[in-house]
Amino acid sequence: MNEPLTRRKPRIPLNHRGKRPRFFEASGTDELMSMVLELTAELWVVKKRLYLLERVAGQAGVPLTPEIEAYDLNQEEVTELDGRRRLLIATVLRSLEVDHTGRSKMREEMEIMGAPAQSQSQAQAPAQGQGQI
Amino acid sequence: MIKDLSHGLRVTPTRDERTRQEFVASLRLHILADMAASMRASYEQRVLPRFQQEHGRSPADGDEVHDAMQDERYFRFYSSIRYNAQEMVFRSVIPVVDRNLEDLNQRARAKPGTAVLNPGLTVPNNVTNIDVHLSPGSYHSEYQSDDVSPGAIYDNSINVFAFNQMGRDIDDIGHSFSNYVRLAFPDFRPKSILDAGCTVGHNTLPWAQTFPDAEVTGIDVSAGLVRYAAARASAFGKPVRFMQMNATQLDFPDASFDLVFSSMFLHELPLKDIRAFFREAHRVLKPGGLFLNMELPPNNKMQAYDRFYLDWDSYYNKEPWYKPFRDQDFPQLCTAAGFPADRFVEAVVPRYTYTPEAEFAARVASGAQFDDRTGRLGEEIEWYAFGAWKQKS
Repeated sequence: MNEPLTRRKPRIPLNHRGKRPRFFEASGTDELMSMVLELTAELWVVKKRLYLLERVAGQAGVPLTPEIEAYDLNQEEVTELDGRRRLLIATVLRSLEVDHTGRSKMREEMEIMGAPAQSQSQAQAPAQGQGQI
Repeated sequence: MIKDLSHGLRVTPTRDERTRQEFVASLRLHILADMAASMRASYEQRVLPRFQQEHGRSPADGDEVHDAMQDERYFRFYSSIRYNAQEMVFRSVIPVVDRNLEDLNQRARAKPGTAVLNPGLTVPNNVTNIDVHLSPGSYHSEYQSDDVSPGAIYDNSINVFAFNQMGRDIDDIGHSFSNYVRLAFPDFRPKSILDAGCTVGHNTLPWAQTFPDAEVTGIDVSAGLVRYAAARASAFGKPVRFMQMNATQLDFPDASFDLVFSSMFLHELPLKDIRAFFREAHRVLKPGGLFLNMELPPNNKMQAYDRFYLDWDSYYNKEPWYKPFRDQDFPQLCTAAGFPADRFVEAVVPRYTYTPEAEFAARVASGAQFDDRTGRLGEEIEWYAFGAWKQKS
């Protein structure tokens, strides 16, 4: 996967208006639930992608496993993966962005692998404070 | 697990986006089938005996069950996970619509269908004041000129929300009740049909299919939904007209329609608006015409636990009018609007899309029977509808 990280300021908000209810008395449990569910979603996305990757590579006659073990990431790829990893973490931890950081909303960005790349002029830097994990 | 919508306004997610949507759909199925069954067991095994011991009786209504469930840990996890899943439905869909916005609006403009907009219409407070069922932007927010994104968000969200249980294009409710009318009332062949609060027209088009000679009109207060519904109908090649109009104040002359239908609409309305819509439906119906509303079943036909279970949305899902509506006496709503008391109609039917014709017809013939599947999205759903015939002149 070498597509650049798709990062853009969306036009349609991802957050609904209004306060999120509390279902648990123990402090933090509501946020933990959101984290567990986001994490599980992300995990499934990755598991399915790996499943497909193995199938596709196998059909193309490429023995992937030893190639992956031996692969050297270049600096550009390392930077890209750093960005993706930060966005994943921010997505999983989205419930903490309300109440606990002074922000009024959960994040409006999600990592999209495989989406068409943005031109430089379209892509916008994340708003100040976002992604500083 | 989730199929792309089959019409020309579909947006194509990336593989990862689709996988995320699949996850959310599976999570919802798990909540509404598996977790719902466990929660019911927790009520029967722990909560109900405790309540009976304390009060010397069983809970009388859904509110009492709701109060009693507050101490039940399973209920809290159920609610927390269901609430998060509802947010994740929109979070799995909006980025796809957002990325495709220009292309989508271009496609809608190229084949707009018949959309009659009313820029002077005030979108009512029940739509604008809250993000209904946690949908960011509610039903009406627009982000570009002549935007269809409210429709695209709704259409794609219910595709995830329904986990493949509501028809190929989320149109089973329309198929089920148009075919119910065809089979239950063989002498009634509507020539003019109104679908009120039709959103994207997914349940409007089946009426044109079941009654090909009928002139079918869908109305909604949201311009974005009306544009999308008209373009969606155009993509399907269906000559159905969509108009931006408030169901509480219809711009049609008296006696304009043989049939006035709505689906999943009344529970979004404050009670005064339900009453106003019923009066308007009565006015625009021809004598001998049929008024039919697909909806959640009334609380007075349900056991206390099932009332509580279905009213979860009203407690937690930004559906403030859901329980007030379900607490009404439905025949009384009809008679108050001028429908004769002895012409009340009520139906519970299996899903037409997934039921063999003969079996569906037999269920229509056997009349409305309520159980815990009625109106409840799970692995087995039965749809509920009610209404009345207008007095023949």
